[in-house]
Amino acid sequence: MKIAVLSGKGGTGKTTVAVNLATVLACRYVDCDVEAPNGFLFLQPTVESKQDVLLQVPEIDHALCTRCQECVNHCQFNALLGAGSRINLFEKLCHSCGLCTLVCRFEAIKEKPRVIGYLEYGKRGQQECWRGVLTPGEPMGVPIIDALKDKLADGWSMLDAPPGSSCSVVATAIDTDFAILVTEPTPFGVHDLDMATQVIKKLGVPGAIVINRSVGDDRLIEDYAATNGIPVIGRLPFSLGAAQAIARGELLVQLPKWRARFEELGNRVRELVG
Amino acid sequence: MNLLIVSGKGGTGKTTLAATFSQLSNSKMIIDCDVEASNLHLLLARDDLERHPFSGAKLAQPLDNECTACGLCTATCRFGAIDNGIVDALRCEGCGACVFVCPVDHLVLQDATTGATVLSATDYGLMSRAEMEPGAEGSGKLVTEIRRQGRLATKDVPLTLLDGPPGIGCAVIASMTGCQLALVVAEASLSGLSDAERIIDLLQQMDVQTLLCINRADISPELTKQLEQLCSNKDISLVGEIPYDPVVREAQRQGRSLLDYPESPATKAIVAIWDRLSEAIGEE
Amino acid sequence: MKVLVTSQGPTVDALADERFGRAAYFVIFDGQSAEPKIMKNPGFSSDHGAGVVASQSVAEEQVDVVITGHLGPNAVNSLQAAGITAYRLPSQSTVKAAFDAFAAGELELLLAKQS
Repeated sequence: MKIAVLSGKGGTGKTTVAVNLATVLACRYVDCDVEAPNGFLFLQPTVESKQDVLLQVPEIDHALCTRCQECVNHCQFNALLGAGSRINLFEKLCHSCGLCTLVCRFEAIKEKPRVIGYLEYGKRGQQECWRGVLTPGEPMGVPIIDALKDKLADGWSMLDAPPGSSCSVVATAIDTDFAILVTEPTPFGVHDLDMATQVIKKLGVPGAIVINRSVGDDRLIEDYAATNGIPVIGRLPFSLGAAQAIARGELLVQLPKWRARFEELGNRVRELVG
Repeated sequence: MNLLIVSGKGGTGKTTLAATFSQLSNSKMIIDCDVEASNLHLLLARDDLERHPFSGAKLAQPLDNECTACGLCTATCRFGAIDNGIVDALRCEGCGACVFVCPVDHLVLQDATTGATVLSATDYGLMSRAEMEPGAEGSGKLVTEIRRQGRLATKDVPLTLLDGPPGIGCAVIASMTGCQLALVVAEASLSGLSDAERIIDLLQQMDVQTLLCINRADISPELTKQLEQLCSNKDISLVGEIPYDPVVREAQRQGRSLLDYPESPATKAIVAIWDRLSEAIGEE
Repeated sequence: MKVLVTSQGPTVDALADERFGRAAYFVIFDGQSAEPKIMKNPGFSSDHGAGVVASQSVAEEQVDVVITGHLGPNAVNSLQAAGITAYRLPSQSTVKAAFDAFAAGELELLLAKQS
């Protein structure tokens, strides 16, 4: 069972929901927000292992290369440059598709691994925690998310998605069983919720909405939910105390009132996904 | 002069600041580079003046030729995006490996529409922004395109404001290129601190002069202190601290400008930050 | 010697483009002929790696000098690999004015040719 926690917009409380819900459900937490992985700041797991994420990129044997430019012409990502005395690789542009190795008739292109980030695994008590971290300056987070998802054993996993609705969000939500859409009752919230909704609809993943920082009047979101046939399964009230606890990197479930709220939310999730 | 307002993470109040600066400054052009969660138009845009479809990616497309189900494309594709000529558009990276190996020319690479660029009128000038198809890729090119549309629409503006995307990926780098000044909006939280550090490293790598302001500074005096320390370690000017203020949320809910609440502490702090920025820009 | 100016439009009177990889047009002045060659920059519409595509095209045109505003990291490495020198555009200049300023030796070096 894989549950993705999404929010079209950053800062809606996606990570707060993901870490606290994973804690009350006693399930695995997986931070797929590889450009800004913050979940571990709250869970503080004891890290047990760390491994690099590698991407295969071409390595050109200049002794065999005839500079025919076939690889340069075929590369859709413009990662190869044919100007000057030899073919040059721009490794940050390489998507590791392997096409250049196929087109080279002189067997001058082999592949070598390149580090673009790392995965970390740790435990907080019995709770398993995973995260992927993209090296700053690296443009592509998707291979890290894919590597992370490959590591997940059976059992429940709570996947904390990146914000937005881009390829990294798709990579996180694809092949999950359920999505929790975290939003807030503002015009920004509805606008971005709609982006997240469209992603899961495209992927055929069922979902439910959690309204964060509810101030009582949540009609904006309720109307949207009704129109789009997505249930609202939880409301987390706005609270300055909670905001301060989150700022300090504390888990809300350490506060009894919030623990009850997340347990109720966890029960709703269990009912919905079976 | 291009001023980029940026934060490593979403929800730090960056867009609210950008909108308020657009009202305070004589900038006639604002560019919403946060293409994946563009919100600025909800605050500022009046009418859409132009709209152009945008293609930011290529996809493998099957042709009418008979597919012989030989399985070569399936075996070649590293993204699990094709099964005997049937393409999964959400997984396809547009690399063309399947097109190359197909023995019966059943496949071709085609431009895919991944969004639209939009030019909108605001009360203060023009806004260049984008609407992306959900799950679409290629936002670095899209950011470059809306920045170009912005330049085309306004010749010789002294100041262009850019609302940057979160994170440190290609869209962020595309937003930074050619910017002379960046304001990092950092939230006084542990997450805010670690994200601010990452974005500052990138800005310094790209040689952009960087300033920092702290939002919701009083939520965590400890983290505010750590952010102040970060500024001095990285040799960055701290241009202001914005207190937590419920008026910001209320203004957002009402769809109103913060300047409609001149007495609110957040408004006062943001106006003061703008004054410091104007000095840095040299704008009177 | 071939000298290329990045341009926002397809004429010598257009404003020069501060970008290299994503510049709209290339205007190439050749000492041999009076009329400059004007071409679209293939990097402009490229989905990925604009700086590399632009450099590839500049190298294919056998350009010696590029005059532009900013060079991204990919552009710097590509132009260096291709053995091309770059000079910085004067601000708010037309293509023609930029070329004249270069000819008069008034432009700042942006990227030295790698030997």
